[in-house]
Amino acid sequence: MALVYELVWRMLHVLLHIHRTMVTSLRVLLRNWNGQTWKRAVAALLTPTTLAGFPDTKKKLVLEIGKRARSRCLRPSGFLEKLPVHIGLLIVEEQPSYTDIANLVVWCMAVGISYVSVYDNHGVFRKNDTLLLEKIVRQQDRLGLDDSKYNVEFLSNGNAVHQDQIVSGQPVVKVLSPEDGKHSIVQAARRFCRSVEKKERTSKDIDVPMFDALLRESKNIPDPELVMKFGPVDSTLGFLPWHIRLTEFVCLPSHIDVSYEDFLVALQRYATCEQRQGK
Amino acid sequence: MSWIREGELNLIERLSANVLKAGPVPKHVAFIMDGNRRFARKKHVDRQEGHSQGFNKLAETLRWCLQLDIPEVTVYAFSIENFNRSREEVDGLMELAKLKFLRLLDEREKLERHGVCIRVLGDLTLLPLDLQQLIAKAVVATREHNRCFLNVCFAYTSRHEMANAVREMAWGVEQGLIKASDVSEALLSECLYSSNSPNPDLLIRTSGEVRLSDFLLWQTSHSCLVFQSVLWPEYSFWNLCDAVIQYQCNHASITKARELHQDEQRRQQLEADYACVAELLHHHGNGKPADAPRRQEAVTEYGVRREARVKDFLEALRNKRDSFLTELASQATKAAKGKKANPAENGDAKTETSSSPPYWVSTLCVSSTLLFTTDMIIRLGRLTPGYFRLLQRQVAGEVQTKPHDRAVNQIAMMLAIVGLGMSYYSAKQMTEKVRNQPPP
Repeated sequence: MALVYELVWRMLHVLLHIHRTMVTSLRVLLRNWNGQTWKRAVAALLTPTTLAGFPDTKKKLVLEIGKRARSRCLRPSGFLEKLPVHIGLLIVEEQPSYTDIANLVVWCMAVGISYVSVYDNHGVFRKNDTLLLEKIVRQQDRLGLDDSKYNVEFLSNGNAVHQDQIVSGQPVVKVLSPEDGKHSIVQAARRFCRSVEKKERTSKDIDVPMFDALLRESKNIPDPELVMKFGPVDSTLGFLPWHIRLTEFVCLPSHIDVSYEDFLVALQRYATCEQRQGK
Repeated sequence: MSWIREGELNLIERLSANVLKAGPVPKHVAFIMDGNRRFARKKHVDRQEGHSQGFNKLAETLRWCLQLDIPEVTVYAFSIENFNRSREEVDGLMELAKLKFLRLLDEREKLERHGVCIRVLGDLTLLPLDLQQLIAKAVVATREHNRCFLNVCFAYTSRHEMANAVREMAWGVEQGLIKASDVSEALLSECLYSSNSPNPDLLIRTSGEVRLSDFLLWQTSHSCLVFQSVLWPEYSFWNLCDAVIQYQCNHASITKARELHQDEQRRQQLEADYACVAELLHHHGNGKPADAPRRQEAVTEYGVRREARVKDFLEALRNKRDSFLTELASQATKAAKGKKANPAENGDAKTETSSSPPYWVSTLCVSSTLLFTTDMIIRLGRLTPGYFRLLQRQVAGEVQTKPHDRAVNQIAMMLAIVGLGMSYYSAKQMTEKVRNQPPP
């Protein structure tokens, strides 16, 4: 009997797997198709004379799409009720694509998000941060957003971010690795215990706000309000356990070839989330 | 409603449970039972009713978990942030908790038969004392059971828990049990409230919210997170199956990530040991760098000593926590005994009234409306202390009388006037009789 159950279980999971791959391929197909209509719509807008021969309904449709496209491209944050100040990009995929991450980062900046954290659980981005920075700068140039240059900074190595940068409202990109998660909490705990050992403090001193301050080391970076998770694994895989208290998780299937549309949809999902803070 | 629901799955459910059990099944599932109030709003019932339906669903879910061979469940019952809710709702929730823990103590034999161990995670000192004592009693009573485990997070937030763990470690340092350099990820995990259970494999949040809301942040860093849109009181067996299937799909990659993390943890520990040994050697100051094998030996030796220290500290911590609970529980038993032996004692009577007004008031309101809407004056309720209290409160204006009570008031007034008139009349008659009777 157990054998039969196992067989059924295996079949179920094979079916699920097939279902999942089909959905992803359909998504890609649909997007490609969408992309084509998109381009056609833009082309039609640019050369309105070609529309003369079209039937009326189609013309309306094309104009509608064009209007939407323009409004989104020019004022991307106009239709979002609220925007996160700090966004986390959590990559749980085997193959990282630097160009797509750079794209995402630049989009975040363009929409007006001040802090962007990029995380993966192998620390790949941390090891190759110069490559990522290079890509980001290139993408920025391509999109012509040269009014604000971003600085890539690490959360854990002390004074890399300067106070004046934060004051001036320049966007900050952080590259995180698992070391910034539990490890940094342990480090802060160890620091506190050292000061207890030296009789500078007592064990009664510690409470949530104080430990929070210890962890932040006077850096005034808010907790991430939104984490976009890219990849098939439904887990945070060690992403900043202390800071994700009230973070909303929005899952996207993959960061490879992710489109601006998907990104905006994720932001919209965040905008509809309502936080009650225990009430 | 009871904590343990006995009952069997139907045939299809049993079959699918068996199919699911052929794959990896989570050993520990955590639930954020969200959506009780939304459910109440949707069904147009009282908020409190939503909460109690949520509790009933918990009993049912526990049964499903047992039937799916999930031995451990953690639930988020009450967050520290929830103290910000309206006074009335917080009192209602506390009352519900009190009832449920009393019920739990009544069902002790049933729990023993199923081997259910109940633990309460959170800062108990934030709760009212009688509830603290009840909880302690329940925890102590089920402490020895080891077949399945239910962790109830009450007055809990994860940040509070982590800060508390740091406080415990600092206490250990103060007591000279450990050194500051012994602080590590493993030690911190052992100092959390959840030190007795493995990290949850699966976290389920209902009602469509996609955040953790300060729940088990540390423990779920490598768990499968499943967000479901169903409201908690409507949760079904199939929702649970769905979550388990999602866990099974993620199982391989999460296990891999966990192993990676454990390797990293070991490496960090070794690094810390090396650093400590280097410092020690430097401190003892014979200056010359030790050769590699001797250094290796020193590190191993240091590791053994560190582990011994940590073990002693954890032992002390466990004793401290256990004695806190036993103390509370014994207080509760003492108080109960005192009450039984001398029920009219002033102090006890006072604690009882102060602890139970919501219950009193609710029964009173029910009885009073019953009293007035059915045949009114004829069926006056018994003049219990509660009824007196209600009357007092009505006079003080604390309890609003409903508009339809006005007619009752008028009738009562009329009857009172008639009664007074009649008594006046009879008194007059009597005096006249006395006057008319000739003196003997």
